[in-house]
Amino acid sequence: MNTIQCPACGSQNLAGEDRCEQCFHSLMQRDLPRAKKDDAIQSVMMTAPILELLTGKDLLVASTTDTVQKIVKIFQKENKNCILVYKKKKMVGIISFRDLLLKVTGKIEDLSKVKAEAIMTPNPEYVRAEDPIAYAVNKMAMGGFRHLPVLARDGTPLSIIMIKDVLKYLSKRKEK
Amino acid sequence: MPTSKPVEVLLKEKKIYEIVNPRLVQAGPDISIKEAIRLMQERHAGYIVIAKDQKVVGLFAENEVVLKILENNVDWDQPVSLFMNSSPVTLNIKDPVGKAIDLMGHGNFYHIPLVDENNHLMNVLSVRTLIRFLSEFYPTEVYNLPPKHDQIILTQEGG
Repeated sequence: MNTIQCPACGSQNLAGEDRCEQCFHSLMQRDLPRAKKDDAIQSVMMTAPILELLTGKDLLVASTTDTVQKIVKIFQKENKNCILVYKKKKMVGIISFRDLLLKVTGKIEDLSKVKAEAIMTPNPEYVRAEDPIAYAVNKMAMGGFRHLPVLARDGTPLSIIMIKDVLKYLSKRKEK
Repeated sequence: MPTSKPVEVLLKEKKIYEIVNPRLVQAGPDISIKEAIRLMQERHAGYIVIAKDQKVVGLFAENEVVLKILENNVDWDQPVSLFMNSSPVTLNIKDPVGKAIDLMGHGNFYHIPLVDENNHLMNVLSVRTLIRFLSEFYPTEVYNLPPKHDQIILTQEGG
């Protein structure tokens, strides 16, 4: 069962509760706890928005009916390793090298006969550009994802961020 | 996780061997592409460290599979050594974690083979291990943020 810890009193509550059963503190707040003042890296990750990681270059979008063959060709040509799958302006899946390795390689004879929707990872987790970087790090760490789509409020894609982007950003901050 | 020290300091002090999992998928350079792919799929690993006499001679990863093998009419009975990355970046297991972050952030790879002083293969560091390590630096409340998005992920594949 999913539980969430009350930041005020520390007791466990069912995930999704509006308030802590013990102390009635709200569990609906959107803001993050603050970082320690003297910790530059911790502060930047908890306050800087994901927006700072976006390059605007890493966004590929496929339709559910595109063939796997076409997607592989595009990965090879563009040297990209992740693509979002959209259907009627709504994100329905994501395909990365991992899907191709585990579900396609050696298992599908003719890649031109299989559609994206058959091999995609459906309903991927995503983040908003205004979420703090820590939020993306947490999602990646908990879910084991190497890629996260960044979506605008209306569901249109802005970018795909990779763990690599986070590490690169950190490594720049570290040198400052 | 002691968070009394700033993260910057911890990244310099913490050694890679303190954070890695004891999980290493390795094989010799003579195994066939077919065997390599079966091994990766069975172990759910995105890489194989190719080693000979305990020395790292290459890395065969998802990159090689998708970019060089899929849709390229490759004969799967050929040895993996023909398609592996034969000069992978390696690190010493006693190097600081910060060094791995710098390398991983700038390179185009997700796994770094780890060696000891004698250059013997000891383990491998994956990008996910690094991100998990970093995620431990937040106050505990961050893990317990109320869910913002209304979906549940069933598998971690592909994300």
